[in-house]
Amino acid sequence: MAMRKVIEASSLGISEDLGISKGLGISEDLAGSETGWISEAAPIEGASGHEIPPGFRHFLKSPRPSQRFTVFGIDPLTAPEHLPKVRGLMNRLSRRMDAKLPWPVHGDASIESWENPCIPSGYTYLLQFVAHDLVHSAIPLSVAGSLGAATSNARRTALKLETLFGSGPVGSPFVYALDAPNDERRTKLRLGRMRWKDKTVEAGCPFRDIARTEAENVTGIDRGIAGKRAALTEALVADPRNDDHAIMSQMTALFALLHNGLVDMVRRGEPATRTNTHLGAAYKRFLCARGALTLIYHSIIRKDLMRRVLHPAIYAANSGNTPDFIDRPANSTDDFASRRKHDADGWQIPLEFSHGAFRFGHAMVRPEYVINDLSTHDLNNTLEKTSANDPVNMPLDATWIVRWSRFFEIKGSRPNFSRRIGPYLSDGLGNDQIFPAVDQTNRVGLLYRDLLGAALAGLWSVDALIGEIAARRPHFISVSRLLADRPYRVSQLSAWLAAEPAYGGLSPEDIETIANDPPLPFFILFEAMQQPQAEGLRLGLLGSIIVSEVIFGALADNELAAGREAASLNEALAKLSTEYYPTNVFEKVPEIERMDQLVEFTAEIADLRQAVPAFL
Amino acid sequence: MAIERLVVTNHERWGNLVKTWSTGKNYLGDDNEYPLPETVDEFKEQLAKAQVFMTVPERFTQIKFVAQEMDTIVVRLPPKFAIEDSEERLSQPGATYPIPPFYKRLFNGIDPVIPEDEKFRVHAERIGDYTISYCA
Repeated sequence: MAMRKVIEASSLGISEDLGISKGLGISEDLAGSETGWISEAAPIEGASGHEIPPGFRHFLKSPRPSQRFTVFGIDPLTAPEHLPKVRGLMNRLSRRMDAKLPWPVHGDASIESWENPCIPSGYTYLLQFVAHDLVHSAIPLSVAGSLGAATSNARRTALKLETLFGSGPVGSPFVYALDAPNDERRTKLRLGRMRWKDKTVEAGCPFRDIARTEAENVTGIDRGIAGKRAALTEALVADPRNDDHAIMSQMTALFALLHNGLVDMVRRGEPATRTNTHLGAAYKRFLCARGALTLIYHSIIRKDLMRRVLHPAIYAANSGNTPDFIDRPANSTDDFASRRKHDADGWQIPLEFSHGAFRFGHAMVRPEYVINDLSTHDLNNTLEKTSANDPVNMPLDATWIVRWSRFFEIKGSRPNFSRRIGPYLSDGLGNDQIFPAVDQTNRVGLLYRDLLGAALAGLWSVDALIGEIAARRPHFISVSRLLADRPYRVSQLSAWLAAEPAYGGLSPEDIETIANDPPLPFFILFEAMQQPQAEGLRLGLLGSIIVSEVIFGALADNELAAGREAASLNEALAKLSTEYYPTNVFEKVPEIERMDQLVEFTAEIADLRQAVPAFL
Repeated sequence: MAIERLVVTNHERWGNLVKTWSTGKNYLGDDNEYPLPETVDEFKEQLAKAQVFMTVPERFTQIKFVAQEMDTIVVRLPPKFAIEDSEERLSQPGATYPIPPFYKRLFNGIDPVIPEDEKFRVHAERIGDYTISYCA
């Protein structure tokens, strides 16, 4: 009988799973690679027989039961009665990961050893934004406890900025500001006024926060303070996760400011006819601006974000014009179940990405952030600053309005640096108010949720996944001893797990099972930490392969027509413009390939170069 | 460069760990043992077991527990450099005196407002209070 598993969403907005497979060697993993097959009338299942929620699939193909992650040889998908043992082990492993990591010092003594000067902190939250644009589950897997309909991925197109635009002005009108008093049309995204510190919102306060509002509840609940403060409990954004914390909502406001500036730019370039005030013209303007923002967004993901987080060899393989992907289930002939599911559901995200590799962003979160010239906030405060958690202190005041040169390198600025990527998370992610315990282990924090979600999702085991990739791209695997040499990998994992016995109290049996069959999100962090000469500065090879295949694959599948075969962003924008107008309305847009360029361009078109609070 | 401070994530757990050390009774509701730590490493290990998630800067290499007696005035003198550091921080334009987040819960959830011209007064009052108060 197929066992249902769960998926989980985290503070970075991605779901989790768990799968369990035996610690087999590469050759054993490759043996007997027949795939599952189902009749037309049967419910859609993975090739291994367990149910996969809508919107998800497995990386490469569905693993057979012998290829799934296991704990003490137990597959949680087939032996739910043993789940307490699984939870216990993930609890102990998460506690092992509480021990600080001994990172090598940097040549520049002003940089902390745990900091990563190659990835400014703005990219941590761009990654979160991208995660929200790839996957959206209603309930985290670690909370639901098993995979099922509640844990399905509601995102049906990838990297189209649905996370920002929702279903557009008609489908998601609350996200858009009125263009006309009669509410005939909406083209700009809503923003809200910030407030000055210790004051309420006043006329003239700039629109630098996302839009937020109060709402009367039929239940009678009122979180406001009578006579003093209204509770702005509702964030008017398309994706509620974009108000997960203060930096995330500021990132969302940044993209909204850019979209609104592009709408103005399109309007200025429109032919001078009276029809421009009509609904159809407004919608055309909206679509053209949205298309432009999407092209810019894709350009940055491709040329900046991925370049920073991926291993250079993997980036080189997939970032060009003719990537040779290995994760193409729709074209695969050896996995009928996956192919059929893909055809029926459209975009599907591999569980090994959502509940495994892409969790690495959690390790990049800093313990505190310099937000602007006036304020530094610790992570606990940052995570609390949302309409849901802190409605009476909304909108954001000036101490929370991000100066973007603190998050990206802009004209030589020194930004907050992200944490090096490794098996350790900042203490604030152990906050028991934001991430309370979800089961009898009483373990609080995000890390346990990540590990548990992975263990419940039926993921490929690390060994089997390496074997499957090695069969398709042996040169990717052979350059990494950690991947190619299984005894070496097990010995390295064992040594690390045993090095801090006071943390987690792992037994020899615990160490043996984890070293032989590590949970995927843990291994991705471990691999990143172990890279020679680049410890924690970017993903390792396995993490890079999974992330690269999914992100570049989604870009290839969802590229706008104007972007196809365009040699540059400018060329793509010019093509886009001609789809709507006789002239190039984007003639003044510079080539934008990096986030610092996006921020500078936004400052230009939104008239924020001399803004107070500072924007740049 | 500003000095790094101890940062507590889960204040209730931290308080319960202190109560456990003081009384010998486990206030954490778990099966762990919490003897008074003798080294910073042991201190960190117990913080982890208790899920306090406290960030402990590397500059701390020793730990000292002071058991307060009823007939003895204990004045915990803050180090000169720490006072100077916080005074410098407070002198920055727009800087405010940091208040632990649980105070907000006790005052209707509103972020505490310490007026600009009051911040050094509050700084002195808090230092005075902490140096002589019983913490129980």
